[in-house]
Amino acid sequence: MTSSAWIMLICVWSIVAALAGYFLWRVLTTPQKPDNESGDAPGPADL
Amino acid sequence: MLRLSCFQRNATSIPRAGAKATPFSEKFRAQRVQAATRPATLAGRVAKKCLLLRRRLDLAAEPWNPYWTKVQDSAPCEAEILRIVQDDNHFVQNDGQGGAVPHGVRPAVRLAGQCYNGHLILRPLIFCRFCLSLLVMKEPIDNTAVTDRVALAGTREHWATRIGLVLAMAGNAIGLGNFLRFPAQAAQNGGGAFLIPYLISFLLMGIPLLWVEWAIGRYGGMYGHHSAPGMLDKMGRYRWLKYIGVFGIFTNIGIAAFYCYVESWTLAYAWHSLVGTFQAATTAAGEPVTAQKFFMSFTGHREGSLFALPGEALVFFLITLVINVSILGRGVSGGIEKVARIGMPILFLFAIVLVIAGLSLQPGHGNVVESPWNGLNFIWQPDLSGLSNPTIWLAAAGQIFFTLSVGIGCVQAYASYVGRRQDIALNAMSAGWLNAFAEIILGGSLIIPIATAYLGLAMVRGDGDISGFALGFFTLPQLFNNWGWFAPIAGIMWFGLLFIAALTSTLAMGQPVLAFLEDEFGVARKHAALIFGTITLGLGFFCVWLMPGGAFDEFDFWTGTFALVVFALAEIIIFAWIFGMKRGWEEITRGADIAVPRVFRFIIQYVTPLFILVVFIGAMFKPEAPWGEAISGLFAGQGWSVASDSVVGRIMHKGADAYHWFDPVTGRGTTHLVQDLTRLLLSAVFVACGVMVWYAWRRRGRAQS
Repeated sequence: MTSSAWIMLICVWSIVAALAGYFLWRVLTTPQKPDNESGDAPGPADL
Repeated sequence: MLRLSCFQRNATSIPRAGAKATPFSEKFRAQRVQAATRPATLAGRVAKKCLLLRRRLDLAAEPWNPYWTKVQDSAPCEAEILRIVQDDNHFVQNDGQGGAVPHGVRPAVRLAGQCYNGHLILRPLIFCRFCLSLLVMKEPIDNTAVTDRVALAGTREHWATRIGLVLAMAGNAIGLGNFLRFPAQAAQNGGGAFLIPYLISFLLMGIPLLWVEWAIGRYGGMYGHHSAPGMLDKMGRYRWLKYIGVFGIFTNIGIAAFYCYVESWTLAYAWHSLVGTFQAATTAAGEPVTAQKFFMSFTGHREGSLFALPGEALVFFLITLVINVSILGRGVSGGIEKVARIGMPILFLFAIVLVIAGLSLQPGHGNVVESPWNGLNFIWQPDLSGLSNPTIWLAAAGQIFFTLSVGIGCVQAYASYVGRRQDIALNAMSAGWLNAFAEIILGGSLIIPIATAYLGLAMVRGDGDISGFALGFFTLPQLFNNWGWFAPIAGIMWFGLLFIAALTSTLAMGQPVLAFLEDEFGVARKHAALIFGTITLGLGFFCVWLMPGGAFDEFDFWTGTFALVVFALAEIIIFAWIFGMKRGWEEITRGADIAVPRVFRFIIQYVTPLFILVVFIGAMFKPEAPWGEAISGLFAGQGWSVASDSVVGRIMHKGADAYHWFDPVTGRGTTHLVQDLTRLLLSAVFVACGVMVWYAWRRRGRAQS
């Protein structure tokens, strides 16, 4: 592979892999909020 | 400003047992008692009328209704009423005496009380404005009482896990295009330089559209709408908004028809890889086996015929439909989410194994003629001169549309099962970048490097028109034979990952249709899944039968290429300009687990619509000559000649030798006949979807009255 192709490949792959990994990690480690903020039965404001 | 004290003039203080004393609740109860006990006067009767009207319309229970925002902007005194109404909606759900008060009654009584108790001068003004607003207001469509919707919210379908939702969304986006279309597009449009417009399009169009579609979906879901017509109807006051949502049903039905057929090919190819069909040197008749010949025979293509009735392909098509229908019938969390949680890791695993196996091929070993890294170099070698070519930018923007599955209505349907306060910003980013990972890193490293290793770069490159589909279905099954004992496993992995990619996408296409039937017609989910399967079978059979005549390509172009750009353009204009960017931004950022950069507010409002508009115009009037030459030719008075693959060119059958439905010599039908019949069929499907939307809202209106 030529050096310009290598540079392009490494730059794009690292950006894409880093962002995909980071956001997936955030999804896996951040607990989902309950449907209703207080955790109670949903009221009209939750609809 | 209408002072609150004027409401309290006749109020009697009735404490609410067991609840924190709230001035509004006290005042409200007084109003309620008042409205109930003083109807003898004219003003009282007017107040009662208001109450009854309000209860029917159920409007007061919707503080987020666009109507109220308008009121808030236009009349300070009514803004005060709005505040009271909103406060009342946040109040306790009992009347303080142990009895439940239906939501909607409380603010209605209060509002009626305002008309009655308001300032002597403002009172008639408020009432007139109120009556006028009822006349010009959008049609009341939600006949479900708020109490019912509270109950519904407890039982409605939802995603069981967050990762399940993200994987289902990623599965919706990751399809055949990631592995077959992207490498060919990248290789043909500047190699590594293609990734620059690709990533810019992703940032300026892909991510904003993802956020907008997630926000529309979650917003519609709050009202119990899980398909585009209902969602868009709630975005503004205009009655026609729901008809824009027809695209969100039509596109899914149209794409599912031909996409399920392609999905069935991947299943059939996985089966034939397992039984070793592609490893046999000759057929039973003694002819050499090639994957291309197999494909032609499998799909029933015959020289000179417009029709095909392939038995085996139809059997696999039916099996694929049964799989889809049975999964869809199991529901969102029980069916779609489970498949995504199992299937997506398998897809990534298969792809990673094949990428490693492909890139580790060494020239000189086996039949390897060239290093696979030369193929990778071919894709990634940047040709920066191409960046000034509009064709490459349009190709990159088009690829973003296909790859993210935006403008179809699937993203909205999935997002409608997300809770009102739950995150969409991070989930959308995660699904979007997972798709980019599958496409750029895995998809870009599979077919071209492996084909280059065995055929040589010159053959892969050919005359410059690389077909990812041909490489994936004709070339790879044959080349896997060089892998010895691993050949059938590689075949199963390759077509298995394509099948999973296609399956998770067709499930996403089915969901909006099922949701539409469930929400608007009350059809049970299993029945709705069967209806979707039957429609897909009918339209899919048309594709199968007339595939050699061009029906398949017509379905692909009008539903899979054209309609989604139109819908994406319409929905982002509705979101940014009708729904309003202020509320839109609140929707996107509510409950967000990441900080959404504020610059995207500007991008969503101005840049993305403009970007899509340019893509749309580019697709409509794509010139025959390169863009630069065509534009300079236009100014030089040479006119504008559209390309045969532009929308206008397609409509006009440009590029055809002579336009006629029947061959003047043989009298047999031509491809033009098939193309026009397909367009008529698609138009009929679109109109049918529109009629269903009209009928669904008519039913609602009748139910209300």
